[in-house]
This record gives sequence, C-alpha cells and structure tokens, in this order.
Amino acid sequence: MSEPLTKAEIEAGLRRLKPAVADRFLEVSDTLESSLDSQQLQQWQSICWQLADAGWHGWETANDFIHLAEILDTDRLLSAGSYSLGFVKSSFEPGRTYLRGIAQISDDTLRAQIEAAGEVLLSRFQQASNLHNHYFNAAFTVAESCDPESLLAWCQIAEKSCDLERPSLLKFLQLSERVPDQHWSALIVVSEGLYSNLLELLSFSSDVQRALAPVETEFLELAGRFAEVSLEDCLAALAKTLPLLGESRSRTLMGLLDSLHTIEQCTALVNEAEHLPLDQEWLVTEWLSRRPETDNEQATIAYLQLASAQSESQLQSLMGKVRLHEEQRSLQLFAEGLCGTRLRIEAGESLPSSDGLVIYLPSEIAFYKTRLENYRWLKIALMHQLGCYEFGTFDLNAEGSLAIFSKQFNQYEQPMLAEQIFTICEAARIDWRVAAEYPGVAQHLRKEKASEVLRRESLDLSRRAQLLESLIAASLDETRRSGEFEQLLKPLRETNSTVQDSLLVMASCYELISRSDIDLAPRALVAYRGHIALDDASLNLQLTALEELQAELSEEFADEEDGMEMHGSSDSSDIDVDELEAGEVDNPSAVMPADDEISPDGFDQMEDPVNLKRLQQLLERRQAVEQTFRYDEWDYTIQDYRRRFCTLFEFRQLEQDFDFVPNTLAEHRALANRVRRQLNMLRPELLRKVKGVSDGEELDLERAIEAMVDKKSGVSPSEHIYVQRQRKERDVAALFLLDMSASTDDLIEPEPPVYVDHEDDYLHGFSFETDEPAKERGKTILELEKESVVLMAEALEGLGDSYAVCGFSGYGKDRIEYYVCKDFDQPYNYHAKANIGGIKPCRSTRMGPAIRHATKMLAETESRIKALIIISDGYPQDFDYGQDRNSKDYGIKDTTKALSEASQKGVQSFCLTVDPGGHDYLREMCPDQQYMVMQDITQLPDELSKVYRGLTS
Amino acid sequence: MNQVVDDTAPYYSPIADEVEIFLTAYEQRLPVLLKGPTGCGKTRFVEHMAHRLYRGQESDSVRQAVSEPLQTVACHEDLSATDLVGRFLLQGDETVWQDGPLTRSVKEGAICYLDEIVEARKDSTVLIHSLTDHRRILPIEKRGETLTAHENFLLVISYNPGYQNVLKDLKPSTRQRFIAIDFDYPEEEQEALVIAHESGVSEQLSISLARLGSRVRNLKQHGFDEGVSTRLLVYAGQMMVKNVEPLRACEVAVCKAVTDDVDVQQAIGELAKAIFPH
Repeated sequence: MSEPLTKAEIEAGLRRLKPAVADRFLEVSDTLESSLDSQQLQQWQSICWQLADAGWHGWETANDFIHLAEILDTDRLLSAGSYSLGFVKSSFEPGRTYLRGIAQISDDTLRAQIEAAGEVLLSRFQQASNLHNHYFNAAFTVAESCDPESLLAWCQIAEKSCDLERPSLLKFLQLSERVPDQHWSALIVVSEGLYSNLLELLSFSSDVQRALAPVETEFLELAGRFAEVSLEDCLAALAKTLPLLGESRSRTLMGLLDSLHTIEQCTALVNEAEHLPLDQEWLVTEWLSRRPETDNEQATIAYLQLASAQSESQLQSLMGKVRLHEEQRSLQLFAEGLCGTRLRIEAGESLPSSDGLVIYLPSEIAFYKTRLENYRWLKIALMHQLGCYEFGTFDLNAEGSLAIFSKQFNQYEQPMLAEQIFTICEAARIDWRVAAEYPGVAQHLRKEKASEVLRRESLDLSRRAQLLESLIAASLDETRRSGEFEQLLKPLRETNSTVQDSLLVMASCYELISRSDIDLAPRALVAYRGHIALDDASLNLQLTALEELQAELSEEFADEEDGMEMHGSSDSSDIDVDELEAGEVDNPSAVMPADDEISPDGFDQMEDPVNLKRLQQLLERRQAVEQTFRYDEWDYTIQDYRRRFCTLFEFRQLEQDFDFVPNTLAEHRALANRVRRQLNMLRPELLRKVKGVSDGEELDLERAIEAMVDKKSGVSPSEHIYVQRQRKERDVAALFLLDMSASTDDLIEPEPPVYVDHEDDYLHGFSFETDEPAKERGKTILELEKESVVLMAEALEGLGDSYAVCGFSGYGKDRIEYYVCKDFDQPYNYHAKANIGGIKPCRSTRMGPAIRHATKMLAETESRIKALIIISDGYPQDFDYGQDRNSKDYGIKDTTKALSEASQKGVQSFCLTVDPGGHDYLREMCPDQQYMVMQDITQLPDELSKVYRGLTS
Repeated sequence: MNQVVDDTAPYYSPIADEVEIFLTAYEQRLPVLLKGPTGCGKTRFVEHMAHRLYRGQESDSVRQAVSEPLQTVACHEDLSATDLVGRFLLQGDETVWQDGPLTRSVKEGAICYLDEIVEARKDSTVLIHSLTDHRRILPIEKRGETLTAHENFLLVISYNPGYQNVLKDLKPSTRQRFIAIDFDYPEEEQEALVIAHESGVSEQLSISLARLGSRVRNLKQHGFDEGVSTRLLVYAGQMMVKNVEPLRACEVAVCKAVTDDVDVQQAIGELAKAIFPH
C-alpha cells in the first residue's frame, strides 16, 4: 500500500481539477486542524482527494464534502465521507446527492436507515449510478415531507424493493420522489403483497390523492387486505369514482367495501358507486346486506353492479324510487284512458315533456322519500302533459300550418318573451282545468304547487327576473308574490277556458312585462310541468290526424288493394330527402321559425295543398322510423335476469324483392298444392255427435231405453241420455321466426334424392327434389327457409289462420334487429310478399330477445292457440352473448329461458334447425317433442307443414 | 225469461229515434236487429218496448192478454235449434213435448228476443229464417208440424259486432232479414242521468261515474273487448248508495270486473283516483 498523499499533493491535484475547490480545501483544512487529530485530518483529506479523483466532475462531490465539514461533527463527517466513497465509482452524482442530503438529517437512526438501505442497493446494483442517485433523491425528498416514522417505513420498503428487477425499483424511486407525502408505514403491508399494487397506488394523480386523503386510512386498510392480488382495476375504479363522490360519500363507500370478500366485488361496487344513494348510508348498507348469500361470484358481482333484477328491485324498494319502465304500461293505459288518443309514454330527460306523439317522463323519480309520493308526482306530471291534449292547447285553428305557435309569438317584438309568458299562462290554465275536472288529483296538485313555490323561493333572483317569477307564482296559486298577475290570470280559472283565452291573457301580461326592463334568460321550469314542444306537438297531431284519414281512405279502397299499394310505393320514391331535412320530425328545432326555410312569413304564402303534401311527406318519414324495445336477458352465471339488457329494433320498412314469391310459387307448384292439401286437413270438422251427455238436442234412444229399463228394475238411471252436436273452431295465431344470421348464406349441399322409408309418413313418397329441375346453383339455407315460409303462407291464406312472418339478426346486445315482414293483421299482399322476398342474411343469432319479442307479438293477438315456429341453422350466438365468447352455454341458457317464458305466456314453440349438431343443444333448450333437426334440409317445406299441424290442431 | 208485469215501463232513456223506429217496425211486423256493446241497454230497450206495446200506451186488448209478452233467450255457443223450438223430455214412462221459448212466443204472439244471436249455433240461426220473411212460419221437425206465427209475434235479435271474431259474424242471409238499430253507450251527461236514476246515487257521483266510464272506454282494446258497460257503472252507483266508499265501489264494480290484467286494473284504479276526490 502506497503512502497517503500529503496535503500539498492533494491541493495540487485539486488545483488541476478545479482551482476554486483547492482554495476551499486549504481553507477548511486549516480550520479543521484545530478540531481534528492528525489521523482524522489525514483521513478527511484523503476522502476529499478520493472523491475528487473518482472521475468526471469528481471535484463537485469533493466540494460538497468540504462544505459539509462546517455542518457536521467529526464522526459524522468522516463516516458520511467514507460512505459516499462507495457511490462515486461510476458517477459523481449519487455521492453528491447523498452528501447534500445527509446534512439535513439530524437523527442518527434515520441516517443509519437510509445508509443501510443504500448499502443493500449498492450491493445489488453496483454500477447503477442512476439508480443510486434516484435512491438518495427519493430518500431525502421523503425525509423532507414525512415524519421520522414514515421515513423509516419508506427505507424499509426501499430496502425490500432492492430485491426487485431494476425497472420496478426505478419506478418506485421515481414515484417516491414525486409523491413523497405518503403513509409509508401503512404501505408496508401493500408492498409485501403484489408489488405492482404499490406502484399503481403511488401513481395516482394529485386529484385522486386529494379525493383519497379523507379516506386514506380505510383505503390503505383495503389495499393491505387485498395486497396479494392485483389491485389495478379497483384502484382505477377508485381513481375514477372518488373525485366525483366527495368526502362523506367516499367514506360511506369505503365502509361498504369493508364487508366485501374479493377485490373483484370491490371493483364492481366502486364502479357503480356513482349510481348508489351513498348519502343515505343505512340504505346502501341495508341494500348491500341483502345481497344473495352464495358462492357464485358472478351473481354477487352482478348484484353489486346493479345489473341483476334482484339487486335493482331491492335498491328501489329501499329508496322509494319510482322507475318509469316498471309503471310504464299502467301509465300508458292510464294516459290512453284519460284522453283517448294514443300517446306513447317513454323515458326522457329529467323533466317531463311531450311532442304530440310521445310523452317523455323522467326515467327515475326520487324527488321524495316514499314511493307513494314519487308516484304521485309522476302522475301529476303526466296529467299535466295529458291536460294539454285534453283541454285543447293545440286547438288553435291550425289547418295545414306547420308552425302555428311561432307565428303567434312572432307578432310580438320579443317572441321569446311572448313564448315564455304563453307557456306559463297555458300551464296555469291546464292545471286549473285538470283540478276542476279531476277532483281526485286536485289536492295532490295543490300540494305539488305549494312545494314548487317553496322550491322557487330559494332561487336567487335578479330584480329584473322578478316579474316573470311573479307570473309563475301567480300560476302556482301563490298570492303573496303574484302582484297584478293574479288578476290578469283570472279568466284562465274558468272551467271552460280555452287556449284562445291563454293567448289573450298572454297579450295583457306581455304588455305589462315588456314595459319594464326584463331579464330574458329563461326561467327555471316548474318541475312537474316540464316542457311542451308546442309547434312539434301541433304538427305531430296534424300528422296523426292525416294518418287516420289515410287509414280510413285505404279501408274504403280495400278492394283495389294492390293498386293502392302500388300507388303508395311509387309516391314514396318521389320524396326528396334533402328537401325534407328541414322539417324532419325527429328534430324539434327544425320546425321552429329560426329555420330559414320555413320562415313565418312563408306560411301565409303557402297554399293548402302544398302544406298538405309536406305533411304527407313528413308522415311517411315518421312511419319509416323503427321502434325500439328493451328486453331482460337471463344470465345463468348469476342466476338472475339482467334488466333491460338488450335493445331490439323492430323494422317494418324492409328491403323488398318482388320476384321472389312468384318465382317460388312457379317453381314449386306441386309442392305448394301438397302443403295446402295437408293444411286443409286442419279445417274445422263438421258437427260431431257426442253421445251420452246430460243435456242435448235429442234423446239418445239406446241410452234412454237403458235408463228406462234401469228405472223399471229399480236401479237409479243414468242421466246421460242426450246427444249433443259439437264442433271446434280454429282460433290460431302463428308466428314464423326466421334466423337471418350470416351462416344462413351457406349453400345447401346438393344431395342426391333420397328415398328412405319413413314408416310414419306417406308423403315422403313424393320427394321434394322431384319438383325441381336440376339447377346450376344450389340454394342457400335462408332461401330455403324463405321458400318454406312462402309455401306455408300461401296455404295458411286458404286456411284462414292468422300468422306473421318475422326475421331476426343483429350484432351485440344493443343492436338486435327484428324484421316484421308480415304482421298478423296485415294482409298477405304485394308488400308482405316483397318483404319476405327481401330477407337477406345479416349477422349474429341472438335468439333470446327475438323470441321474447315474438312472444310479445303473439300474446297481443289474444288467440286461443299461439304457435311460434323458429327456423334456424345453428346454436344461438353473438359476439357478446355471455362473457366467454367461445362458450355456447350463455346463449343456450338464455334461449331456453326465453322459450319457457313463452310457454308460460301460452305460446307453444317449436324449433326447426338444419344444423346436424342441433340435437346437442336443442335437447337442452326444449322438450323432445318441440324440436326437430332436419337431416335433409330440402324436406323443410314438408316438415314445416307437419309441425304446423301438430302445433295448432 | 223475463216478464213484463209491472204497470210502469222499465226505465229507458232514448239516445236517438230508436223508440219511434221500433214502434214503426212493430206496426209493420219487421224483425229488428239491435247492434251494440254489452250493457249499453239493448235488453232494457226491448223490455221497455215490450211494456209499451203489451201493457202501456201502445197496447191493445189482445196484446194485454198475452201472459209473457217478452221471451228473452240468452244465446250461448251450445244453444241449438232444439233449445229454441222445444224438445221431448222423459216424464214418467213417456216422452212429453215441451215448447221452447221461440215456439211459445210464436203461438202466443209475443216478442221473442234472442240476445247475442251470433253466439248460438248456425243451425239455430237458420231456424229463424222462415219466421222473418213473408212466410212467418216455424217448422217443428221433430213433431212434423209447421206453426204459423201469431199476428202479434215479433222477432228481435241482438248482436255485438265488437268482440266476436270473424268466425262469428252474422251470415248475410240472416242479417238481411232485419232492420238494424245501432246502440252505443250514451254520452257522458245522459249516462250520468241513467246512472243516477238506476242506482239512486247523487248527481255529483253519477257525473263522476259517467266520466270514469267514458275514460275507461278509451281503453277497450286492452284485454277487455268492451269498455265498461253502463250496467257496471250502475252497479258501482248502487254500491255507493249503500255507503261503500266510492273508490272501493269502482274497484269492485269496474276495475276488477272488466279485466284480469293487473296493469289495466291499476290504470283504471288511477283513473278512478283522479276522478273521485279522496
């Protein structure tokens, strides 16, 4: 070992590197001489030199070390120096960071911990100076922002982290540096589990951190509890949800998570938390405790996601919340009863509104605590909307005009103001008339008005808005604030007031209001009154009237049916779509005067026929709009329904192929006759004599004699001595449901005509193939399905049964397409035939919703026998039919459920499939006698008629 | 089988000129077809007319002598020609012929009223053909005899075009033997009067009942084929007179009576709640 360098040599060396450092070295060295013994001094000088000499920019480290001498006591100074030497081998940076940081740490234990963890790091990653540097940076940042205890914990975590791969460790260090202010002691547990959880947790943004802060303890507890599994999803969910919830709701949520057993459950609950009434802790706790006690993880998760029917109804019953879709049918009937016209009720935005076709009501009503109160609110809102129709809001003389209301308002200088005033006046009038006409709701209406007044009192009002607010107050029977308006509105309280009165009152109110400087910003709507799109509604009512007129006309011309249809169809092709855009019914603003095309001035010039034509065009557009339906779906994994899970679109305007039916009939004349003959056997038999009944038209001579003999011989005679003649009548509705999935586009394998012995069937003697000439191209499965249905339809026309032909396909749960080619009450005419001809292969086979819809259609026919015949070519499948795409189970189970629902509703179903593997799943889906797997698809028409006979006789 | 024995004619409030038309038809002995929904007053109308013609102001001595001026037969799907004409019954050791209601009225010269004729079997509708044209005869096959109708005999049938399906339509050959009078439920005001009169309920309540009736009739496609009948509204009124709470009376006499569909029942219940103060 060489002699240690002298002070002068070191100084010279330093001077070569950086003169300033050399100066400083001399200076400090001189000072130290007094406090250090020579050995210590020499050690100190040597460290200075070793640091400076360690490599590029080593003098920087040395400089820091020299600087340290003024701060630290001797022992600490020297130990820090020797410690730093270990880190300067490949770069000056870690040493410098260490030396700068260590000065801040006064506590020996802490220092020792930091150094110890550093040692471990060094021993594991010797050359990784970058890592070392990050370590010290992180350590001292944490030290700065945390208490000693927390810092110790951090060191502990860091020490343990040294066992990890370099990237994870680096990430940990970087994150520690970025977010040093953590409860590190609590995080030890997390770090002991899955390490990625820790990183995930540390990478939360500051927003999330802030949201997390109030519930940190609970949260860390949770993280600790599930440390062994990946928290990634749950953390992501929390990160998304917590900032939205606010402190107290977050606390409730975290409390709920306590009682859950798996992290997946927690994730599910957190994801749905936004939709839970977390501000009512007892309620959600109760709801949670009512979850099914089962080992079925999927079922629990579905419950927590509010996806299962049970979960939803539990929550709802607890909340007293009224959901529109559950009351929809009875409200629909109520509405229809009340005003006689067919206004659909649908879920809309948060306030009620209507447009002449549909009344939109909020999908959930939770204004009040109890269900009864919420329901009353709903009913009052509905009655207000209905009142507009019943009490003639749209009775302006609007013959053929498109924007009659706008025209009225435009007469004023400020049309917007006029409209606002009118709306308030008219709403007041409607309320008063409703109250007069329906004493039963009068008191509820009064209460609702009163609470609305209370609600409005709290509104912050500018002085300029006061006037309109007073008008609203007057309309709500609030006399204290109504001022002059109460008097002005008086005419509207008459029990025979009309919309004309409202217009007059509006005029006088307008005069009063427009005199003063008024804030025109629209006033907050009265909740239960909502909003009515005046011009839209009036237009739609006219369209409806026109529609009815058309229906009447077409009934009159029913004899010339085909001719009419032809005329109609050529007409529709004439419509210039661009021209229509402006007036499109779906677009409420389109008919407003703001639109350039229909300026109010234009109305005067419009001749009636032009308007009528326009109305007609709008009408056709309206008829083409498809209807949507929501259906539940059975999820066998959770053993419950998923509520309103699937969306089904019903199309009635289809692509048409006019040649298909005539071609089919020409091709299969003989077969058509045969099918017809077979079905004709179903015709009601003639009167049949039933003997031996207790009451009838005639005496049954034999039995009468017997009875006499019995009587004579003292035996009590039978009373059944009459003959009755009975017969059965047919009351059948049948629905043919065709699978239009892409696979039905496959060609049928050309098979040689097979003459197998079918002992049970004499008809197989004529084979289907014999009717056909050899063809160049095979047929697709769907074509054959269509042909069979056409043949059936022709035969059924003769039999007089009512039947429908529908097809289904779609893609995913939100797009199930259902095509109605021929409805039950629709004649089998030119159009229906073309519709059937136009059926094309589409996409998937999500069978459940289609069956549910078909069942609904059948149930509505109220026929005694309801038959559903499904023709498909494979098992039910869709890309999201169940979580596992490759599993057939979900689809099969749902279809099975749909079929059993059908049979509960009195619909007999029958599945015909051409999939040779069909036995496997059909056996599961339906009883043996309700399905058939066709070995030879060309037998379909024959089989179909047999099935039909079986089902309906 | 109804009898008209009272001195006062059964209450009937005419909607249009049906009373005059019926009187004229009777004068000319033209068979009458009454069309209209259940419980709108067809039967009551016939009773009223029978009373007027056989007991009241339009009667004469011959008609007053008829013991049962109105023979009402409610037709059902098992009603056969035999039920109308008559049959042999066993009595002791021998068969005895018993006249059916139609035969009785043909013999006596009464009004025979076949209610809901389309419900009956086709053979019974054919039976009335010979009675309803110039021949006015009734062949009784089983006894091998043909009865000529009494000069006062009149056949009245009723039929409800609303709910019968296509299979149960009247055959043109039957239909075209009658003059047809249309019936429907009266307007709200008039129905209120009828309800008030029949049930004795207060004017206020009868108006509400009539209003409920017209609202419920808007719903008639849904599961029940007819709207609520005037008869049911009268029942509801009768319940109210005996101090049954109005909503409860509507529930038992209207909601539950017209349909089994729970949603429809609920909707009607809500209508009643809207109309009756509670």
